[in-house]
Amino acid sequence: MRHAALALLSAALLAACGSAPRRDLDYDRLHASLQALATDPELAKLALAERALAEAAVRRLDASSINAKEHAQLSYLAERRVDIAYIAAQTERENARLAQLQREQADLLLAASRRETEAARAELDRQRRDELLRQEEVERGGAPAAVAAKPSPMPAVPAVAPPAAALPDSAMSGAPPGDSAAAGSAGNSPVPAPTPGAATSTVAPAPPAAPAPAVPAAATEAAAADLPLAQRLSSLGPDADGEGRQITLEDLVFEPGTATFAAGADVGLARVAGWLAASPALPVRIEGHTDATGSPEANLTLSLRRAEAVRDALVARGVAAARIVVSGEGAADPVASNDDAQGRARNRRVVVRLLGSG
Amino acid sequence: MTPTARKIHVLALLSLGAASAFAARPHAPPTELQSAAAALALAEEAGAATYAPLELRYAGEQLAQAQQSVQGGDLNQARRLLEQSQVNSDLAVAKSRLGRTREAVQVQAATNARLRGESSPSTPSETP
Repeated sequence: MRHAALALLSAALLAACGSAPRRDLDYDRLHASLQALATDPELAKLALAERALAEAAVRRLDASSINAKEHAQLSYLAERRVDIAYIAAQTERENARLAQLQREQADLLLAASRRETEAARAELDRQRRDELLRQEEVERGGAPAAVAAKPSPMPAVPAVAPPAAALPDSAMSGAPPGDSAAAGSAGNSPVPAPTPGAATSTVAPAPPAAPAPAVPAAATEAAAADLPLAQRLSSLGPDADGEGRQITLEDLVFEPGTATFAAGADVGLARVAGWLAASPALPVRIEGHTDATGSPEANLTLSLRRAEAVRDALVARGVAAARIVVSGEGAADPVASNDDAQGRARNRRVVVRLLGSG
Repeated sequence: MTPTARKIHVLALLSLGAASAFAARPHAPPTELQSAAAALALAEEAGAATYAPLELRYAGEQLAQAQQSVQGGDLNQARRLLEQSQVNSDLAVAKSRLGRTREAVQVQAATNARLRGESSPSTPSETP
């Protein structure tokens, strides 16, 4: 029995001696692994605390006694410490990647927010434009006070004096400026006040039975509707069914809801002035018309203001003011249905008509 | 809670009890026992049951064996087992953190890809 124990002890000692190269192998393997970690371009500077623990564990393995059991224990611990060092470094690298992705997300969200803001701003601009258009409509329907006292919506309004800018033209044409036979009846007009004292008028009162405005050819209008205003007006001429005695200015020559000329209206006004110049002896009647939208009073006011604006523009282009009478017809004389937008657009117009038999 | 985790809980409680029971004994390793038990609990909290189940199981078993060694009077073996339990718990924690971080990276990358996809349709219209 004692011999057997001695034999076992000898075998253990031999095994211990034999384990010396294996201990070196373990150490070498773990040491090389740590060296690789220390030189890894991505991981070298990460998880330094865990790497220090692993290096200490490997050093303990290197300095361990020849005791195989102790060596196995230290090798077990060192191997796991090296694993931990690697894993901790990889975790830090992943954390850096996560932080970069989070920054990228913030940038993406910021860009999306900017796009939404731009879209919202564009929508607001669109709504504001719509609101402006609605306000103009409301102003047309909500400013009847000035004309509420007007006795009748239908009378032809004799010409009032042209604005000061038009005086030279009027003088050149031989007609005294500011000659208005019924300035009082045009008192609601927003145009400049008549010249004081000029009460005589060379303009005859409007004939009571002025021909009704002719209906423009719908097909022609529809075909021309897509052209720019100035281009359409460049071919403006007497209405086909008006016996060559009237010209109709479409509503687009005015800004919506106002008596202000739109850009490009000059072309049409020049055409009308030239047409009138061909018959310098005939009196002229300018009628403003609106659609049926809004109150009748406001429509009368607007139609009169537009007719007066056309008159002023024609006078400025050399048409004698004394030839001209203006009237605001409001919505009383439609040429198309007011039930649809196209019909209403046709109803909004200013008609310049040659009177008399000349 | 998974059966493994419950088992580890029991082991941790047992080890803590053992630590206090052996506190009065000379040459007992209560500090190492408590430290190993705390490391095991930390590994559980880190999600080691999901990300490092093998290391978690080793750590629990080694802690239980260390307790038995203490009871058997083999303090050296107990210390070795506690060291192994500790390092396995630490490894489990490290693996769990890496697993969680990698998952977060994947989720974040998918989120960013979705955001880029949402923004890309409008890009051509912006630069026609």
